[in-house]
Amino acid sequence: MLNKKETFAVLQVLKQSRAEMVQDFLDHKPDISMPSFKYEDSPALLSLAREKYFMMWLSRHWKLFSHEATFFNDKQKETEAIFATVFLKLLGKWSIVKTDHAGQLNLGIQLVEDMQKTLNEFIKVGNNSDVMRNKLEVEIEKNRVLFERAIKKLSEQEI
Amino acid sequence: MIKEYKEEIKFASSLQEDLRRERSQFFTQTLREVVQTLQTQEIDKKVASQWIEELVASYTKSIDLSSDLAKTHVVQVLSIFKEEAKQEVSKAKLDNIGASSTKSVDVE
Repeated sequence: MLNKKETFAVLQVLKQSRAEMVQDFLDHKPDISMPSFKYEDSPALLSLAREKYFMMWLSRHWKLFSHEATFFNDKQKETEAIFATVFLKLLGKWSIVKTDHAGQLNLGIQLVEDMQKTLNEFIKVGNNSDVMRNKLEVEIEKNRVLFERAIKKLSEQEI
Repeated sequence: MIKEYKEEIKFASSLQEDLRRERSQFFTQTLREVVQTLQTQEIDKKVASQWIEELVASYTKSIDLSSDLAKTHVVQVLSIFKEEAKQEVSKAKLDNIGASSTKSVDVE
């Protein structure tokens, strides 16, 4: 059960996080702008990049909550536990966790971090596959030109 | 008692009012500014609309949670107020009974 001060603090953290998200868009944050251009023609990678940004935004909440808890000198631990339930409720909205029990806070934090790492790995693999595809395209083009050169040389010899 | 709870009730309703105002400002003004920013950056329309879609979804989930928490706070305040009012009424009834029995003893 949240008291008046805790309710106010929790609502402030959520509001601040929403404002920061909007500001990221208005400030042309590279996590948003860069993939928007880089993956304009790769919808799967763009979708991973979007998910990565929102995961990052979600994980930032806990930093704000734990910082806010430091202002509750007299009962920092209890307040942190209360904030943990709110953070888990938030993760629940994304179906990342199904519990808001404060004891599961570390699990929630770990899951968000793991998701971020996995998304990064997927994006890296995607980038590498682009590099491989480019190399392959160069090889195909090179072979085509070499073949044409050889044909040209042969036909010149025949003449 | 109402005087005592006046501040609490005022606080609870101001939380809800702030959230209503923020939600409305997001959809009427902020969102338009974000769309314009993405256009200015010359981000592809389809790409921009996917970002906007997820921004709206995330913003909505967060502000919905805030509204739920604000509502829970109102319910808490009201139930404490109700409980105290009940106790006050019971106490007043007991005092009345006590006063009238003293009166009847005096009459006798």
